[in-house]
Parts: sequence; structure tokens; C-alpha cells
Amino acid sequence: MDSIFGLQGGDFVIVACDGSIAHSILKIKETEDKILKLDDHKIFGISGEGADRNSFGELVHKNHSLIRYKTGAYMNLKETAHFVRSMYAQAIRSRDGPHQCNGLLGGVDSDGTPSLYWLDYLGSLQKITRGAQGYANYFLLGLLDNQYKPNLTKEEGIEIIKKCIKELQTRFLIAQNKFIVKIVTKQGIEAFTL
Amino acid sequence: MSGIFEYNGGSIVGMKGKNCIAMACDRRFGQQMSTITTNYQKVFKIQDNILLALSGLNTDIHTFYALMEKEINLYNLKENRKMKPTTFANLVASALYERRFGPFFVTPIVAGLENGKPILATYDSIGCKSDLDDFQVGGTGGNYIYGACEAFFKPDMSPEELEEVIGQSLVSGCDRDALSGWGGVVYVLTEQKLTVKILKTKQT
Repeated sequence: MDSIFGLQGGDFVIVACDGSIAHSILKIKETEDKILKLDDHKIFGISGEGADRNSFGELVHKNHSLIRYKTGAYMNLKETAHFVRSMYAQAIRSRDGPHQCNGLLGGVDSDGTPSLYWLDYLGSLQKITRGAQGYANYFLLGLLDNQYKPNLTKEEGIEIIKKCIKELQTRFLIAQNKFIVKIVTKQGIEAFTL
Repeated sequence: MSGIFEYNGGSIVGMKGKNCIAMACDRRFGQQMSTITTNYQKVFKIQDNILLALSGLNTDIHTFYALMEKEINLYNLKENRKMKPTTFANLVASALYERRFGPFFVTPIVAGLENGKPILATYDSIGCKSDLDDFQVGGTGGNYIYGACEAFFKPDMSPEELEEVIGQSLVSGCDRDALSGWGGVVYVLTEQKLTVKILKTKQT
């Protein structure tokens, strides 16, 4: 039921998530941050059951840091995306089964190039310029395709995200009032609630 | 799930010509009826004279391709020579059979040029190699492409003719298959060079 969506602009990447945690018919929390900060220039928005989201998120974050300490170098976006993919792919045929969560990995490399990757629980990986996970796919892909153009500015990107949120609030059956939005630029990560 | 091979969609086709080979694939990546991207290419250059096309489940395409890259790189380092296309074709078969009871959900096609002679082989998901025919297809649109190939194909075509024929076969096939399409990419390999061309199919 989580909505995770994002887009890549000329020099930034935005990933947005809804803030609600539900338990059967009860909404426990409205301000849950489902976008994990991997380092100062990478974010990973994860959708799925709370437990899977948290445990896989931690696994990715700690392994990402471990590689940094072992090799002394930060992975760039492409390497991180393939690394996360391999974690998913190894799990699907393992004893415990797949990690039951999907994700959008976005960030900006040290040379300023932004990228956004779509990852699913099986280990599918695609580099995208705009996309969503879960039910948000059905509502937002058309809108994102329509509004997107190459080399968007940050302000234009935020406007599109606002339109997406409005669309979900109008048409999606599940009421999702608060959305956490994170933007990665060369300067770092900005977060705000919409 | 209607079928694990149909989950992500996609079609591939390979053809032999006179001292040349061609491979073509569509560009769609989807989740059942929903399309995620339209620039996903399924043909990989393994070596200067070997092409590998993979259709099936996206995650296994990534994993199997990485596995084959690793195998060929290790071979190059250990034996200090390039791998022959017939050797690679056998390698794919045994790599697939290694996972006999937990297979990769992919249908590969291997195409290459060995001393100028074209090599083409296709497999099922558990490694049954079939290298008897002049063209091979794979993926969700495979059956549609078969018909078009049978009609257009003739033996010993030149690279230009081959590019035209394989392109037309792929486009006709993908236009009919709901899970394939959104463009096509044609690779033609001759002794001298590899040409890559992007095609338009029906934009649905």
C-alpha cells in the first residue's frame, strides 16, 4: 500500500514516499520516513511491510558502509544499484526467501550526474528517469510521463511531485495525507514534508 | 502470476547469414500489464565475436549475464586467449544445467562468428542446446516472430539483407505481442564490425 515515486532532473533526484503505517484498518502513524539515507548523496526509498523494509534497509545501509570501510572508496550510484540488486537476487533462492520490499534508489555522483534506479524484490534493476513502486504506478506513471522533460530544474521537479501527491490524494482509495520528499543535489540531501 | 517467463515480457531473435550473424531484441521491461521502461536491451556483447541475447525474468537476465561475463573474463585470464563461440555455446548449456532443479528463468540465444563461420544456438531454461536451424527466437513474442522469420528468411544473406529481414521479423512479431515492443534493437556482426540499429515498433 506504500506509495514511493521519484524523478530525475538535470542535476538532482527526488524520491517521495507516503508517511503512513497501517495495521489492518488502523493508521498507526502518518509521518514515517521510508526513504533511507545511504550516505550524503544517496537515498533509497523502500516500499513493503514495515519489518521487511526496516531489516532490508538496515542490511543495505550497513553493507554499503562496510564496503566503504573495507575498500576506502565510496561506491557511485551505478555500483550501489548493482550491489543492492545482487542482495535481492541472492535472497530469492535462499532459505529465507526474497526480501519482500521494492525500492527506488536515487542520488548524485561526485561529478554531479544524477541517476535513479528502479529495483524490485526479485532483483530486477532498471535505470529510470521517472517511476513509482506499488499502487502509485497505476496513478502516477501517466502523469509523470506527461509532465517530465529532460533537464528539469529543481523547482519544476518539486511542482511535478506536488501534482503527483494531489493525484494520489484525489484518486487513491487509501487516504495518504502526509508525504516525505527528499531531494539529492550535488550539495547534499534536503528533506521536507508535503 | 500467469507464468514466470511472461512476468517481465520481451522477445529476442537470432539469424545466420553469409559469414555474418544478426540478433535483435525489443526494448520493453514491464511488470505483467504495466510497462516500467522502454529502453531495456536484452542483447549483450560477450566478446568481439560473440553476442548473447537473453529473454525472460529481468533479475535472472542480470544474474545470468553477470555469470557469463565472469566466466569469460576468468577464461581469458587463465588461458590467455579468447573463447571460441562454440565453446561459449557449450558453456551456456552447462551453466544452465548446473541449476537443473532451481533454474534461471531465461531463454538464451548465443550467436557468434568462428573463423568467419556463423554459429547460432538456443536453449531452454535448463540448458538443452539446439544449434540446428538458421534462425532462433525466444521470449513472449517468439511464436509470432517464427512466422515472420519463416516467410522472410533465406540462407546466405548479406549483412544488409540480414539486418532488413531480422528487423522486419522482430517488428512484425512484437507488434502482435502485448508484452513485447516499445522499439527494437538490431545487432549485425561481421568479421569486420558490429553495427547496432534502433527500430521503431508500434508504440503500445
